[in-house]
Amino acid sequence: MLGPYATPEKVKILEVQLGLEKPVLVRYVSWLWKLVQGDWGVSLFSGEPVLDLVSRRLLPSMVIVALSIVMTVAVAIPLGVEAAVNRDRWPDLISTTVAFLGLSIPYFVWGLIFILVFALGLHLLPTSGYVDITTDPLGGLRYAFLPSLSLTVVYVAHITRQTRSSMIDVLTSDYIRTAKAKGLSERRILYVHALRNALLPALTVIAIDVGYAFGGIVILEEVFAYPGIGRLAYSSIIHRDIPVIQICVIVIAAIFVIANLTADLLYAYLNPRIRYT
Amino acid sequence: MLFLKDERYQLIARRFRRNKRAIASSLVIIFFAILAMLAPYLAPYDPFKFSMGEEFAAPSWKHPFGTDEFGRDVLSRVIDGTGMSLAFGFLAIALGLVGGIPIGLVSGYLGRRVDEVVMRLTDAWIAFPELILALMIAGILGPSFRNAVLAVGVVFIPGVARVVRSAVLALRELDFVRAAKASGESDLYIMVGEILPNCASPILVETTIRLAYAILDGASLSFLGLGQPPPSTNWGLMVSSGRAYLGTSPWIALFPGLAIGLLVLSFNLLGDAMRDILDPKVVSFRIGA
Repeated sequence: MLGPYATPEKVKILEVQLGLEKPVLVRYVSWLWKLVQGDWGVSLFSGEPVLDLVSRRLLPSMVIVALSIVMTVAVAIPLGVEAAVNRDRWPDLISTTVAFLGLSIPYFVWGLIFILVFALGLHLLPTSGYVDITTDPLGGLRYAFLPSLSLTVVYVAHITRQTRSSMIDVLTSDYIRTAKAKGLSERRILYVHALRNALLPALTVIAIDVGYAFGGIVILEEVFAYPGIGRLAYSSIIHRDIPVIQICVIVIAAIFVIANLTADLLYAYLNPRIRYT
Repeated sequence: MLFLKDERYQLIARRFRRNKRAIASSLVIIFFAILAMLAPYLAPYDPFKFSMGEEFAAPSWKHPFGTDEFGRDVLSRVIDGTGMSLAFGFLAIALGLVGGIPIGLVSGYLGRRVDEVVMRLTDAWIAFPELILALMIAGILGPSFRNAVLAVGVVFIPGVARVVRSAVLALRELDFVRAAKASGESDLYIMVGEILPNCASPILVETTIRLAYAILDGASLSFLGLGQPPPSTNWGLMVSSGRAYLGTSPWIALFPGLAIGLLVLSFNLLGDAMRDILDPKVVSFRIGA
């Protein structure tokens, strides 16, 4: 922080200034206390209050994650259903392979592939940057689209596989056989009866993926120079901007935990057989 | 304890041979392993040699993957980087296992208070998305292969611990453990000698899948600049430096990227196949398996 030419005296002064000579426990408690009161510190790098910095950056990241969840669900659920219904035949094998490809190729490689195709090749979308979505929704979406797409291909892989395997389980169960015996149309059986039950585990995976999305976002925001919390976390780590690192990590971890908690609660709510005593 | 000549192993081997995905993915992995070991002999050019006048050459017979900004042959560089990626995966997983297995064993076996405490701690550990935690650790320690391995390995420890713990919990109440206890065997022996060998299959499946993610995370860290510095032939690093030329010479970034994808894909497929092979419940669907 002081640079490579700092003298021992200057280091000592800075230490007292930052309160570093106090024992760790005391510092931790006072930090927690300030946190709860809303004093999140000041960036060592820019001098800006961390609270402002983070709250400005959170929305853009959420746009990316929300967009990718919407796209994922729209694509993966039908794909999963089709794969389950046509099990072990070509549609299944193709979508399973594509799914695996999705989660094996790293986020940043997908990002680069999409940049190549959509931005540099087709000139449809920008390669980087950001427009505030509250002022210009369409513009904001344009900038968020490619990063979201990169997340989407990975999560479609997860959700498709999960939907497929739970659909397979459901379709071989007794009540579906009863429905078929009753003579209900295949479409009705599939979408009204089977899917509702098959979706439960998929919902859990979706919630968990929201959590993971905030990890992937660190890389993707870097690739697309998108000013979200992921990029903030990355640059603060590189610059050793400790107050910012602390808050970023807490925020991201909190979102992750909330996402997982939501998944558990949702599952318990929707499945009456599971109850936490 | 004589479990190696069991019919169970023969059954597993047979199911492995019949599973197309398992065979295919193992072959790809073996291919990469051979590539890694024989890299100096298989690479057509020196991966580090600049070649002025040949920069940015598009893929051709002479340079199947093209050349980069310094005229270096991309194919040779990708081949050279194979060993690094594989080594990264295995080392990180080894760290995860070394840390996670003892924790899972002890926590599951001793139970109650110890288990509660350990589980809360691992929950806190798992609360971070893997990449963020690895990023923090690698960022603070500094960019190097060793630190990246450390970061990714540490991040895996709680996951391994949990898998081991649930296997241990299932096995703890079985008769053979009771018998061992009754004949006065020490807890340590029971944990390591009786329970651990029977945890092998969940650990194996978990390990294979984690290997895939280890390689992925390693590549991501290198992409962000937290792995080896240039002029290393680390695949993540190659993608990152090739990024600047994406518009004009996409092959510089794309081939290493696809190499990462292929390697990770084979481990993912293998892990998935292993899960089917080792899962006792799946047998009944195949008649005559």
